[in-house]
Amino acid sequence: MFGLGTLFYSCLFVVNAIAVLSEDRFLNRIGWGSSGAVATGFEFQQPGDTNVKSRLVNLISATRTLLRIPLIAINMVVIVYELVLG
Amino acid sequence: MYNPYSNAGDAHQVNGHHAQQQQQQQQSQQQPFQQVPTHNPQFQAGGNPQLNVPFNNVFSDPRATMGLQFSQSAINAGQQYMQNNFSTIMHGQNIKTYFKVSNSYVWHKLYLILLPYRNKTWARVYRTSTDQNNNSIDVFAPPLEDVNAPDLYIPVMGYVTYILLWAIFSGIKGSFHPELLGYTATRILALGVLDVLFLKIALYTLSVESKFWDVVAYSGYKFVSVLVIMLFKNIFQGSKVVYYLFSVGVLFSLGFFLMRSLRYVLLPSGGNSVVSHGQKKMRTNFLFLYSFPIQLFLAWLMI
Repeated sequence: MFGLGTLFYSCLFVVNAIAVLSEDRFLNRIGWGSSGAVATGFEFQQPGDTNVKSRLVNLISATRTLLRIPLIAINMVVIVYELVLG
Repeated sequence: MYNPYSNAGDAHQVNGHHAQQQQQQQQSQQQPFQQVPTHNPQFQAGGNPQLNVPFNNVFSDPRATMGLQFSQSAINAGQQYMQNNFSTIMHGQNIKTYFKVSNSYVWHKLYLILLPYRNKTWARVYRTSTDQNNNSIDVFAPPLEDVNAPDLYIPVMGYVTYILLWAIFSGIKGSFHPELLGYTATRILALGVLDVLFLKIALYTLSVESKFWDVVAYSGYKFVSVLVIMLFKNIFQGSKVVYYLFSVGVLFSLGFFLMRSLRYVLLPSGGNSVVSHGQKKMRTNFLFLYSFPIQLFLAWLMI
């Protein structure tokens, strides 16, 4: 039905989508910014990372900072591959 | 296939414009300038350095030699990268303990996956051992001593057996071709990667400490159920109702087995758990969601 190639492409698309989310135009607006979720709204819950939302926010910001530069390289390789070999 | 040396030799013997044009047409890809015939004629204008070894007649096309060198350097770089990063993935955890199984363990575990209703205790056994600093710590017992410990032997065997059974059954139906083995292998590998990725991300989100190979092992236990269903489907080609009932029963057993096994991963029963009540509820919900619908979906994709 689908193989490693499809899985790789779909993972690449999802990671690209996460990477192009704008920090100050979008994530901060909906409260998922990497600086916002830590400071606000912690009166009722224990501080730290045990909140699901804060872990998700951390995951998103971590993937963005880590994978921005390798994503450029991988995207270029995939684009060249698709152009040359169809 | 012409011999480049003989043409270069002809250029110096005949020394006429007509012959030069002729041999330039013949050597349309060779050097444009007059070189001595003993010199290696496989130069382009770019001056790619060649190996002056006797077998350079094989690549009379300089682009092929450039491709060969590029691929060699790429392979070297890949090997270098693997050697640098191999230790972080493989040797960080001792995966040999996952393969320490015995016959009785394997039989008992297979029986547990298919009929998990008669097991008494599901908690893993602790075993005190000494680590590097000679402190005695509590580690989990290997599969040899504990039926509830996850192992990697059954998933690996299940994966290979699934590929072989798929090939056999498609051969019985008459639609086998040798690439089918590769297609099935990569397809099931992709599904396995998806499953492990989903479970790992979900466990991280729920702030559960989990080891990577444990996750791989738990996700690979569904091969057993899928194999049994596939065997039933192809051997007893009875009515569809019986087949559906049987597959639902086997997959329900798989879900039950996974729920019981993963319960102690997600909801630690010790006294030092830091989860709140809301977290517990969320983890239980996730446990149920993972064990039944997702495994059902993935198993249905594989049948």
